[in-house]
Order: sequence, then structure tokens, then C-alpha cells
Amino acid sequence: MSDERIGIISEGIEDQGVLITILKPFGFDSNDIIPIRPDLCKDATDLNNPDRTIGTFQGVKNACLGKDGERADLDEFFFVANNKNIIIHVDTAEIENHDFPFQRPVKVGNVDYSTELRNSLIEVIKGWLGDEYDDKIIYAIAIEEIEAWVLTAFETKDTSSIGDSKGKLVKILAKNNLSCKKFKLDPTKHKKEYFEAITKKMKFHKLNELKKHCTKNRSLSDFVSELEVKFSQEE
Amino acid sequence: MIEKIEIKNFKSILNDNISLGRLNVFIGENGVGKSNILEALLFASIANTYETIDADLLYNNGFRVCKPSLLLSSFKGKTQSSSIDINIGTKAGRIDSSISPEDVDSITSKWKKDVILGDSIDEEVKNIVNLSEMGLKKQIEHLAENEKFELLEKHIKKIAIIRNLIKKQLVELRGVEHIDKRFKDLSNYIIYTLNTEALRGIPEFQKSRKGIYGENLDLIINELNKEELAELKEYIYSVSWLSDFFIDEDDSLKKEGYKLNYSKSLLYFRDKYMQKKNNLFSSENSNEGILHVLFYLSTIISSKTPKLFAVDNIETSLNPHLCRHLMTKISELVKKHDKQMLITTHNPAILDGLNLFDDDIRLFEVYRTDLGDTKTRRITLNEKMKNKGYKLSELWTNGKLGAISNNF
Repeated sequence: MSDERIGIISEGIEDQGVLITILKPFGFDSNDIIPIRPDLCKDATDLNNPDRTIGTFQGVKNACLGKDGERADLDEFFFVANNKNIIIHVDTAEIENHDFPFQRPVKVGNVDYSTELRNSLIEVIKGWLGDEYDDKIIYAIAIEEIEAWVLTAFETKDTSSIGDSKGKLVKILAKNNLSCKKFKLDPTKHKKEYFEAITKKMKFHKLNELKKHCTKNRSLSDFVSELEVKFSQEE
Repeated sequence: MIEKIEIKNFKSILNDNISLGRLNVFIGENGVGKSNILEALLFASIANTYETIDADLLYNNGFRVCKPSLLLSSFKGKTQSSSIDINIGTKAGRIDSSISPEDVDSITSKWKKDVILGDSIDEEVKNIVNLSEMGLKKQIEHLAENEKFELLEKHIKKIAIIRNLIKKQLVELRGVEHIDKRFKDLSNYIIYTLNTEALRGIPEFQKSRKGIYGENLDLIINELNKEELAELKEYIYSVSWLSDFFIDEDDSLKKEGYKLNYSKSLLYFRDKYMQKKNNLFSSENSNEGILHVLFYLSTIISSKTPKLFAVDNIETSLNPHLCRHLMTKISELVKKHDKQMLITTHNPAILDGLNLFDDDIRLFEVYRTDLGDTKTRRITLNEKMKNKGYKLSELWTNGKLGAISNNF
């Protein structure tokens, strides 16, 4: 990706791992990707200030809303000219817990459920962000969790309808002998690396394979389509 | 001034291009290959300067010598090249160097080189310096076949004889090959890796041929002309306790007991807070910071030091604010004294002295790709956000600049 870099603001460290692998077929090397949140650069002082390093949905919201008229994470990131785009990731599983100003679309029998929910969520995030960086943001809205994206490599049906995709993925990985140990990683320290390794193993870094996975999850497909539009020249 | 370097098959650098400015700062994780970039330039400098390249010559020039098989890039799944190729672009022209070991497995191997001076070299120099005897012979044959310019043939032979005589004489006298004036800066290139004991003049560290550890600090200061010395003394304010420094040319203060017999340095300092009778001390007794600062400033100000040089880990022994101030001053001085510098650092405070909106001042992130090879990326700032004024040191430590470790 030459001198260009991309940032990631995500709910969790595992999500970063998945997104990093998905970016590979679009010409990004690991060093072109800067994980912004959750903050991997926390220091000893941050132990007394948990807000600064917070992950989860609230962490993403805080980063987008900013504080006192400044969006430190985004402003600082785009102050460096090499940093061209940011991916903002959220899972839709628990949006009801965060006072969302819209109703979840009807799910049963609605083939556009994923896209409708995704679009509604994007509008909310755009409201948080304002117009300043509109053309630089790429939305990774996972319905209902990013684990459902990973499950596309193992399932034959649509994975967005799976109730507990986190739990299901744990079981499937165990069944397929893809534990953290298998990759010589420590589950308490290497969550990002683990999800990077799993998704790489399941060939999310190859565009053809990734597109096959996309057929089993609309929200993954919508995200990949956005990447294709943005980085089509680098394919 | 060097504008471009293209490095192929050198250590961790499989293929990388760097567009240099006047002041160039390289940052990145430990072990990504920052020093390899400085060394690649040194390798090209040596190839452009000396007739024969061997391990001793490399070592004496500050090169980290290892088996050629380790010096040539060796990545999994890739065939190892038999040569290191370093192409350098300057305003005066191009120098393309291809350097190959005679014995790839021997650490003491000699190296063969093929240095081609680029297009902008005038024809006369090209003929005299570059044309091989075989090339000359072919040219003569060609002329002979076509028009049989016997007279010209004689002239060409004469030139060849003169060329060889000059070359031989130069090698005998200086141990170096003929150097095109336009590439003199490259031939004089040095990587400084300062050592406090060497700066203090402790002989144990006086091992390098070119003073790469800073052992010639007193000599550099002593050789400054009046104006240069006055300019250097303008910076006395940057060290709070310092009132003056000077060179004790005849080493007479040693006899008065100001230093033991260990240090060979003739450099002395005066402390402004101490009583006049007790404010003098030798570089053997001085703090480390002043020695480092004086070295950098005097090396830039002096007209006798190399025009092109590198400093590995410039922040050594310096307070963060001094780092910042020093870099601000270095940015000004390299322009004023027509010097070009390459610097590596791990200290964020160094970055706060750089104005990256000035095209002469360049910051590079050095990193290893997913395949493991070293790449360099110039970091620039967003002109439209100039007024935001974020500190580069903070951007670096909070990860927005890149060039940090993410694996712990």
C-alpha cells in the first residue's frame, strides 16, 4: 500500500485481528494498519485511568464523539498525512443497551435485515462523527457479532442468524483443533494474534476465498464491498 | 547531496528506495533494519572509494562485518542473490554499485565490485576512470575495422597507459582509487556511533580509522577556524553549568594535575557555578551530555569534517528537552553548513525538534513487512491540519505515527 496507512477503531482486540486479515487482499501489510482502539499503547499510568484504554462499544462511541469539541483519536491520526482512512467497527448484538434512536428492523422474512440494520447504525455513527472525516471512514458493522464473520469459513448457511456466534465459534474452533495453543499463542495475551491466525488459516486474506465467505454473511459482504470500492486500484 | 538510494539484497533489505532530504531521521522497532540503511550507504561509499574491499577495511570503516552469506539477503523461499546492489542518485549523477563476495562462506572474504558512474558524468571522466582495458581494446578494434584510424589508436593507447599510471600512483599513495570530485561526499561518508569513553579520549577506544566513536572530538574543535569556533561557542548556553570550553594544545594542564595519564583528550571545560580557582576540569571528568552535544555541533560546523555523515542513536546521554533543542539547531546548521545527515533514534523527544513541514527535514518509518524484509516509509504531516500542532513525540508514543512494537 506504498506510504498509505489505515487505522482501526474496534470494540475489542479480537476484532482487530479479524479486520487486519480482511485488509490483506486489498494490499495492506500489517505495518500499514494502525490499531487505534482498544488502545494497545496503555502504560503503567493508564492503570489508574481505565477510560483511556476502554474497549467495548462505549469505547468506540467515546472515540467518535470526542471530548470538548476535539476527537483526539481521529484528529491525531489524520494529522499524519500517511494515515488516510479509519475502519470503525461495532457489533450490533447489544445495541439496545446503548440508547439507540432507532428500532431494529424486522428480522423474520426480511432479506435486507442486515443491510437495513447496518445503514441505521452507520447513520448514528455519522451523527457522532459530524462531516469532518466522512470520506475517510469505512464501516465494519458486524451483524450480530464479528464471530459470525469468522463462522462463514465453517458454516454452510447464513451466519448472521446464529444466536450465540461467540459460543458457537469457540465450539467449532475446538472441534477443528484450532485452539490458541495450536498457534503457540497465549490466550490471555494474544487475542488479536489468535484471531489473525484463525482468519488467516481460513484464508480470509485471499480475495477469492474471502468472497466465498461473504456469501454467507451479508454484513461481511457489505464491508468487503466498501473496501473494494475504496481500494479497487490496489487489488 | 544524495537524493535517492536504492538498496537491493543487503542484509534485511531486499529491495528498498529512499528519497533523502538534508536531515533524515529514521525510527522504528528494534531490529527492523535502521542501521542497515546507514551501513548500505557505507558499503556503497567503500565500493566507490577503495580498490580492494576486505573485512579489515570494512571493520575499520565502522562496518559490522559478518559472513557474506549473512550480508546478502537470505529470505525463506527466495534465491539468494550473488551481489549486493546499491544505486545512489545525486544532483551530480548516478553511481550504481554491484558488490559480490569472492567466497560467500568466509568472513574474511574479499569483495569484487562493479561501480558504474551514471549518465551525467562527462565523457572525458567516463573514458579515463571507467573504461576497462577490454573496452578500450574493443573500441580500438572497432575503429580499426571501420576506418583504421591508426593515429587515434595510438592516442587511445596513450590514454590507457596514462590512466593506469595515475590510478596505480593514487592507490599507492592514498590507498584509494581515483574518486570523481562530484562523488567525494559519498567517499567521505562516516557513521558515528559515539562512545563516552572515546569522547573522553580514553585510548582503549581509539581503534577506528575515521574517529567513528567520537575519539577525535578535541581534534575537530582544535581544527575549527576562528569563525567556526566562535559559532560553536554560541551554543554554550545549551548546557546550564557551562561557562567556556577550550583546547589545551600543549597538554600543559596535565602536568598541573588536571587529569590522570589515561585520557589523551586536550579538551577542557569551565563551570560557571564554581570558584574561579576550582572551575576547570578535563573531558575525562566532564558529564556525558556536553561531550555528545559538542561533537554533533562541531562536526556540522567544521569545514574539515565529512559533508555527509550518519549518527546512530543520537539521543544517547541527552535530556529530552536538550534532544529537542539540539535537533532544532541541527536542522538550521546542516543547511547553513551544507551538510547532509542521517540519524537513527529511539527517543520521541528527538522528533519534537523536527519541522516536518520543511521538505529538507525528513522522517522515515523503518519496518519489516509481513515477509520480513525491511522497508522505509517517509512520514509526512497533513498540511490542512497544520494549526493542530500535535507533538510528534506524543503521536509516536500513542501509536499514531507507527514505528512502535505492537506485539506486547
